[in-house]
Amino acid sequence: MEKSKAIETISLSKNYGKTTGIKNLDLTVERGEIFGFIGPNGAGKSTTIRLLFNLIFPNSGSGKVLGYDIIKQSKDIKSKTGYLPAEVNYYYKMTVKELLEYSQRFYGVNDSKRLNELADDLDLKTNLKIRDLSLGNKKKVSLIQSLLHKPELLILDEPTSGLDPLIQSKVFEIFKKENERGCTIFFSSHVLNDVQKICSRVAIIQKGSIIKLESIDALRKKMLKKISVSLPDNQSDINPDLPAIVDFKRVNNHMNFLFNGDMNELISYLANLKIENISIEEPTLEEIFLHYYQNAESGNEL
Amino acid sequence: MNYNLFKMELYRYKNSMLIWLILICGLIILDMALYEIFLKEGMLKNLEPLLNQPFLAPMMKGFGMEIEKLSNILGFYVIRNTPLILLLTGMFSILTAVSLFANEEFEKTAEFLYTRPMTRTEIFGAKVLACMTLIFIINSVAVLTGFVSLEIFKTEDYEKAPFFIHSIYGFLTSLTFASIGLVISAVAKRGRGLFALSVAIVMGTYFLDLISKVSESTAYIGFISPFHYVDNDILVPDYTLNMLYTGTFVATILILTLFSYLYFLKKDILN
Repeated sequence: MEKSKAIETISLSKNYGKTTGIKNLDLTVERGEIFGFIGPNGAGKSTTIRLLFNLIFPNSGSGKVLGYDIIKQSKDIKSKTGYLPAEVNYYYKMTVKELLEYSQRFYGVNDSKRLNELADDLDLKTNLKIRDLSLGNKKKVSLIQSLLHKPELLILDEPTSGLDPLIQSKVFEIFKKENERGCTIFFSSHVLNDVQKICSRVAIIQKGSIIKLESIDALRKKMLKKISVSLPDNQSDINPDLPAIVDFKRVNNHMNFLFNGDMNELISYLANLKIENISIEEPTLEEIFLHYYQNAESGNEL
Repeated sequence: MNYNLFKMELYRYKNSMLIWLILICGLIILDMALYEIFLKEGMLKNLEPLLNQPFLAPMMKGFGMEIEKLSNILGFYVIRNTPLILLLTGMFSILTAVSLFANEEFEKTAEFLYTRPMTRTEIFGAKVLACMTLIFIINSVAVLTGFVSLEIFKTEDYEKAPFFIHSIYGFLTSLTFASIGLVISAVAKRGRGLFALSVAIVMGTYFLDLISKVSESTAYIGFISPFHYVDNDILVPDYTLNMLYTGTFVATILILTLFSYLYFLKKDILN
């Protein structure tokens, strides 16, 4: 029998009054993968996560997490899923240890060894009160509570915000270890560099709809190349008019653009020009992301 | 019902309950200590002309002030202490119930709690049961303190059964305010003002009951007050629970709790 998907939504929609949260969201996350979910604030990332945890109810559509229905079997989902929220708010009078022990009791777990190991890995003192913690330390508490019960699925909402670079790299190591253990990771973020580091596939969400779903490699390799061309001074007024050129920018006699067409066509065009220098690179995820966004905004085909 | 959550809720409200208990028990003991002085100093005789003044008589009637009742320790307890106990336990009950769900949302801990492996029914059950347990404890200790005070300060023997039967109304009044608090907690969209609203509901319904007792023309407004359904005629022979009043309490508690439960089941947790 085929194993169920880690996450599967079908035409999932949620409105807040007249405001759209997400619209007809079709999303599939395979078991064992690290899936990136990127978009700016207000794009619908947190709404999607809240629907998966049944914190809010959809207006239409359906969804399953680890094979369980998001409305009818929410308890089963929560028992096998770890969640690291974007905003970290806990009972401020508790100590870190009290909170973590309280949390793990909900899962029927009492694993002080794992608790201490994770706290040591992240350099977190467990005798401190929650109210005395910095944002970064609260984030560490949040990470530990999401991992204590060895979840099958880890849902991370902006997991690295508030963490210093050293801890961030430790956190990524932990995510990779969890993934090697078999844990699926759903990584929601607007920090593209983070997504690039760890994810194998990525969905770009804008205004509640997924505008692109690709593997990170394919997204980079499929179409777009980042081209930089330096021209001599007497040719600085040239404006290439090839349709495959996008996001064109000119600074003095330097042209920078993304190219998503037949490379031979570009070479033929450039062969007619006198060129001082040319570089062809893979664009960063940030540039790809902006490209998709601007196209979606202007209604162009992606 | 989730025992882990139930235990944590009891722990969270423990200090608040202790403060309210100290206040309630202290006031009961202090007031009952005055009973002997009240009788000895002949204050009752001085009070009699005051109670008969045409201007004050209706108001005194509203407070249940009758010489005959005041001269009996049980009557003295009901007139002087019962309103105080009902008001304070009522406030504790409504404030605790209001904070059960509203605080989780407004302090933004709801996201943590509601992503633990529990159904909404289990969350609701654990929280409401914890609230009821606290209400039971605070009422029981208040009744016990009242009973001990009666025993210490009595000048002659009195009927004990009416005292304990009457104390059931206290528990029912608290539960009624708690069920009003549950509704507020479940439907509240903003945290600001809930404390003031809760206190206003308890005080407001108390004064409505007082006003309703002043004259026949205002009697009808008392029906919407939980205080109206507390039978304070404790000195009548064969004093028993008024089944109509008790039924009204129970029905109100069940309807309001059921409403808040059904609302909570379908509520979007946005914070």
